[in-house]
Amino acid sequence: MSAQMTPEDSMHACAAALAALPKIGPARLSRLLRDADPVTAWAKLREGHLPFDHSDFDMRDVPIPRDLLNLWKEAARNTDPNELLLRYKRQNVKILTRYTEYPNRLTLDEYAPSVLFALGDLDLLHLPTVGIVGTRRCSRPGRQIAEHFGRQIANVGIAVVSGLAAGIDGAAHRGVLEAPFGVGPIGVVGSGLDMPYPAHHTELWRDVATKGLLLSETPLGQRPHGWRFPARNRIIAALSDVLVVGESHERGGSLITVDEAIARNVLVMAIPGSILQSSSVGSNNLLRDGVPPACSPQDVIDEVRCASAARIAMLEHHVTDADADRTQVESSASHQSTSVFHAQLSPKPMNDAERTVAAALSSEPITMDELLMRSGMSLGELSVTLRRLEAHGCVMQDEGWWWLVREQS
Amino acid sequence: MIAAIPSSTLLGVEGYSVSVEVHVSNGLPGCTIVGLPDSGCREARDRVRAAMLTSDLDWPMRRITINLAPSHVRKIGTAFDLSIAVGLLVAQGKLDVERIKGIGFLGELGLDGKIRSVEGIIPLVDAIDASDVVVPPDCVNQASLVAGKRVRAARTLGELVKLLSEDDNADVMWTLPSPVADGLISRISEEDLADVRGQPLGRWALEVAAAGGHNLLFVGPPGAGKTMLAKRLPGLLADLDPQTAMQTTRIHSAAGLLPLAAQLVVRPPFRAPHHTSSPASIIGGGSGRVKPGEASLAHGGVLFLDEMAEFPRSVLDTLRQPLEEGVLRLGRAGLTLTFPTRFLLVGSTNPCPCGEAMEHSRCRCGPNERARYLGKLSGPLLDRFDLRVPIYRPKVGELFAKNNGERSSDVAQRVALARAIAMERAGKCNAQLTAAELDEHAPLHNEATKFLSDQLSRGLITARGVARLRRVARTLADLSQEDSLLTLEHVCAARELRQDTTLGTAAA
Repeated sequence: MSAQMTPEDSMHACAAALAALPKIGPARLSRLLRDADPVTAWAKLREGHLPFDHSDFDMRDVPIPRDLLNLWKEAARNTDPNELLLRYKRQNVKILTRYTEYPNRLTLDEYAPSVLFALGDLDLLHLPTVGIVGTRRCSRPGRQIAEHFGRQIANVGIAVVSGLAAGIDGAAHRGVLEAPFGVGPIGVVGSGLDMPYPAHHTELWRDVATKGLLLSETPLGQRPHGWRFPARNRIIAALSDVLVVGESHERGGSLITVDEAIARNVLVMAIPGSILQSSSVGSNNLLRDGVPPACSPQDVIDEVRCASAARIAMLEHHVTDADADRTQVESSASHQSTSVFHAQLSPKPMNDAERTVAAALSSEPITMDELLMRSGMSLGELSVTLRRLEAHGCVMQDEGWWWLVREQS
Repeated sequence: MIAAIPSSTLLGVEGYSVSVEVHVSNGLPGCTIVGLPDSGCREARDRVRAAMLTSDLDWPMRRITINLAPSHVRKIGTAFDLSIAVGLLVAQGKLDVERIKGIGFLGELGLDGKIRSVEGIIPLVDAIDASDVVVPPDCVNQASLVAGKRVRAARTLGELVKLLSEDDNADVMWTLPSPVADGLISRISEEDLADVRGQPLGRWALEVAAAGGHNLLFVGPPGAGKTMLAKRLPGLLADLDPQTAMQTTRIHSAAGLLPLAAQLVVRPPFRAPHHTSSPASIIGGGSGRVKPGEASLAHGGVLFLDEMAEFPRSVLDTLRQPLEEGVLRLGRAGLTLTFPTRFLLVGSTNPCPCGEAMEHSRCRCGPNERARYLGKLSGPLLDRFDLRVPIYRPKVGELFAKNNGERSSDVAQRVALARAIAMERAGKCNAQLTAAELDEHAPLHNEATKFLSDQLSRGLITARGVARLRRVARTLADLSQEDSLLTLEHVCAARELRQDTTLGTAAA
């Protein structure tokens, strides 16, 4: 069996085994692999020794107590890395380490993950990227807007990075998957790649993995511990050329991602939201503090070009022919967008009922109750008119709240 | 000597005829009561003995056997006291058998000889196997409601014996206590719809529910006004028709809920059990005496389940039979008791455990919590609601608005009209129309059919959901007194009143 293992395979096997050790996190893993490759490190741990010299001890280093070392020794003796590797190979999960294949973008990152698991198309990491993050408890328009941004940005050949969480993250990726000319999304998650979280995003996971790229620092089979989420946020920040915050409450995980982005000199933008929504307080506060606003997907796309060029120059990476194709696709895409926001439907003349209802609506969602009182119409007439307006794309609704999308003559 | 006196006992909400047989013979003095008496019946021996002695009547020092026939049915209650006393007197020869022929006796005896009232007088009197009935004086008003029986009363045992011993012709008129002037008709103070500010959808839903007999579910955050709205539903319903009124009065009488001075229950009852109620209190039961539960007490009226998701699943499941068939069948020791339970079901629930799922992004519940919370309502019970209406918190401006909504009396008029139209058309209210009757009485306009088939093909509604929409649409048309085909507007409005998006389930 081991005869068929290439040296690379051995590295991968030991890397996966190291990542799966009990009580190990990104910091300890990085320390172990800083001075030794995975195979050496694994061998040392089986003996109960650290793979580095004690004299190299640095005050800033994460401590590894003797108990932990013994625990690792036990675990190492009871694990066969080769078998573990078979599991990964069976599920087509690639293992990325600094000693083997590793994303270029992360090589210069101080806190880059030392072991990364990937499922899908790794070439997406060479494209310019935009991270879209936001709160799990987003507003209804916020969700639609995130989808719209995801769709438009992916359509011009930019890969959208997000966390596959409920709310803004999921909406952004759903938009990406709907883009007719779009490139696949990049999802960075906190659980093992075979453990979709949250449960209602199982299908979304599958789609991102098959049409895009799914990344995780967590080994297969592990559910997401709470601390995995802030940890994976740094990876999202590290992988983005530009980071866009869709909606955020006053405090939230997406603001952690913002901090990580700022620390890495990644440009942060925020989508403005109604000041009446609590879900936009955090993102609006960012704007107040000087972050440039993303008032449309085009704003973001313009910034990505500059940021991406800078990164590409820094890594001395050659721009591929994909760029040339992309510019061509870009100019045609804006004319063919099927998005409601830019729909070029021939404006139909509105009858009285439709005019009354449209006048009663605004961009702020209201309930049917409210509409009944404002319009003064009967329930029957109102519901028929709303459905007609919805079919024309003038209004949208989400769980019983209606709002105006487009002014019409 | 032996005597047989007609009396009766309660079985559920119905009476059951009992013949009280009294046998006096030689032997060691003693008195036994047989025929499956409960403890109340058994204690009758001591009560009757003391009452008779107080009334200067002899208690025979012989062997006395009292049989409550038929002997295989459990006897409950204290109403046998009077018949036992009369039976003893007849068995001793103190009262003439011919005098008491065809007279039944119901009443508890106090130790002073006073004839005291009993619970459930109406079904008891109805079941007794005699054309004349002697009842306690306090029960006369209610007993008089029973058709086909002549009611008499006496205040004490002594008085009764005196009246029965007098050698007059059979049609002696005994002194009846003066009837209560304008016998109080049971009427709870009903709330007025005009108290509700805003909430046009909620008020409209009440009107539709009342007009067509449709079950109604309110979904909304705490403080939105769901309970307030639900309490206003009885005020929109008309008085009970005579048959239902009688049924409801019997049930309330059997439960001991009818105040003595009250007569017929004319207003639809409104029952609102708390969600900590046991299953037995909702559907009825209890050992020994089987009392009707809230579901029966709501017969003819409204059963309101506030905070439906807090009710245990077992309790909600037991409501399925009453909702489907209009009766509840309980099995007890070889007998199956039937309780009538035709009511309008109104429910209220929060959309999720924290209650904020319907507001802007303020819900703190995970998707699992939400699914589990509403999981109790899913399936057949949820499907029974023809109307599922979201109720949002009123805005501040609405609360202080000058113009009130319509008064209950005005809405009730429209409701009564619509009900009359439905009754005349099909003989039943719209919510009970079967599929075949829908085709006959609720034909659809082309546009409406197209809309419904579109919804069906997109999987937004099930076939059963379509039937329910049609019933509601029929009621909407009746309310605007349009008798032609059901239009797209009717169907769309019905759709708005039967929402699911707030519940997050796919079933429509």
